[in-house]
Amino acid sequence: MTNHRDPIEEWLSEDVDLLQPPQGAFRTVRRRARRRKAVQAMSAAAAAAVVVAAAVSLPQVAGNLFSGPSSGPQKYLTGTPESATRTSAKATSRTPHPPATRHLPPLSSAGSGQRPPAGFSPTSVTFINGGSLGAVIGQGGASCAPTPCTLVAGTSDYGRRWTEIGAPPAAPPAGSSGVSQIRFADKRNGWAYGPALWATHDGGTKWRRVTIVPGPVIDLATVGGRVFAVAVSGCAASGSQYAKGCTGFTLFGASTAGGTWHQLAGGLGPVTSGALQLTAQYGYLLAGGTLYSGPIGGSWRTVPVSTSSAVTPACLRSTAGRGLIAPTPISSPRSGTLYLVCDFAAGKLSALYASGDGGRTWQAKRTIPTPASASATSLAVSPAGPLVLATTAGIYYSLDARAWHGALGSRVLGGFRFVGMTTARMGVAVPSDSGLHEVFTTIDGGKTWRASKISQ
Amino acid sequence: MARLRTADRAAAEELFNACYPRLAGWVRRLVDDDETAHEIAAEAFTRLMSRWSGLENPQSYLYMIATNLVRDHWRKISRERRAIRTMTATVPREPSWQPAQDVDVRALIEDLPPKLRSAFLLHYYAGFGVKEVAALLGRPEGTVKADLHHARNRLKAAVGEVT
Repeated sequence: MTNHRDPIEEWLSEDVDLLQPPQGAFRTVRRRARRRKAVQAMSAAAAAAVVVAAAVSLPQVAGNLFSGPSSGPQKYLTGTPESATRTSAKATSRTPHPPATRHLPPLSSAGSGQRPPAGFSPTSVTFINGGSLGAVIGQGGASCAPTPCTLVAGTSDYGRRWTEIGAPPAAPPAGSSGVSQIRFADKRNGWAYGPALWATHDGGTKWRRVTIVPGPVIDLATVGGRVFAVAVSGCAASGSQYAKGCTGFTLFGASTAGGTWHQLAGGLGPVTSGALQLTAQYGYLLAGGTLYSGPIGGSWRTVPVSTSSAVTPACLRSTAGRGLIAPTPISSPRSGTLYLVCDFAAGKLSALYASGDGGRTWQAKRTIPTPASASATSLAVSPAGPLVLATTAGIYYSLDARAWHGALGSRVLGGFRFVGMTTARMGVAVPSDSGLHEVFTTIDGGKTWRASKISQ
Repeated sequence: MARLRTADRAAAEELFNACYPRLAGWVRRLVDDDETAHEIAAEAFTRLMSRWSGLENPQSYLYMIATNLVRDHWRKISRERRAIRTMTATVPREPSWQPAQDVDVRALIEDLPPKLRSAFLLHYYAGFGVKEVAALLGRPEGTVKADLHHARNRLKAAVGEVT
């Protein structure tokens, strides 16, 4: 039997083989670009000189300009010389112009400026000060034509109204450049990351690239004047899949006010977005099948599972293990609860574990009854205790880590990529499909969710 | 100012390192020649960096430039082919592609009208969404959708003819 597979389909579905640049290619390109810039500047200066000359001679030719086709000077001042027209027609390619950088207000002015343009596609959201200020980052869509760009919007009423604020001059994620995620520590200090890292210390008016943290930054969290970032290495990065196939990770820390970033921990194995979780006093990182933790401002160490543990969670058994963690606000080696979801890939029921001693011993809780096709993407625990799990099939919440209830299931196609709880009752979720142009908020601890449109 | 220039340079170099291999690989699939692919990718980066004063959304801009340069390259080789055909008019013309499983999709896409070709390459090959393609080409989304539909139909019909 002949295979009648569509060759067009076959051709399009083939991966592009990368073609590495020849030695010194960047230097050559940069030199050529500089030379062209200089030529453009000279041409612009010459054109300006012509305009000045024309303005000076205007009184002499003004009558001719409006007197009809027979006037000599007119064709030189208002027409296009024949040779220029030909050159233009021959020009090899149309080159689109990148949009100019705009100056927009800081986060503290959120709620009082202009609405973001239609087509804003949100990819990450953050709230500070108990939800009194929030920021969402995303792509600007057609408003950025001819190229997509990154926009940030702020809110002062927990997502009822968003207004545009300053954004980093970065592109959407592509390989190791661009940004897709946002976090603010307070109304001045914030970061855009995933995969590149940018920082602002004036609420978003000015952003600068942080180059001291190498490699794609896939997670970032901040608390108590400290900011932590997880950089990955060895990734098979392409396009927006910048965290795919990474084989190593490094945890960096810095003061939120700026300054040097210090390496705190590192190792081999995969790490997922959401693997870094902080409480007011303690931090946790689940990477490469190992749990790391440390006091905020102190040193981080691995947390081996004790032999007295009732169970060793599946995702802490090998370096390939992946899991989602969520600590209650007082979680530490002596208090609170650290939750862990393992086996969150599609086709498996997500297993929930809890630890009362910062990850040394674990107890298995009930599996979470998500549909077979669903993958868990983000886990959050609110200050009052309810757990909220984002999946590709919707959001699930539990008041006691035993009985789970579905919320926002089939209503949001593709499910959610992130869920976070700001207070015991207020939370926010970001849909997987940024093309919905909205995020979702809850004010009842995750039971019900309301769509929050970002643009008009 | 000097610091700003250094930051710009670092960002440009990072963008180059991150995007060049894929862009050049993308071009190679379309022109079937490493050297031309390098030339086009390098020219796209040169144009970007000579006009780029900030760090605004360079990736799709690069693909747009590269698409235009590929189009120019195709036009050039098409003129050359015509000239060769005229010179060797008495020689029987060779088929421009091999039948069946070796259908030269590149040649089929090359034969698409320019209006359909740009949209097709940017959407199906460079991976931009319909909205982005519409923004890049300055056409309404509906028009882009229709162009993509027509392009596919034409390609399928062409494949049907050669297989």
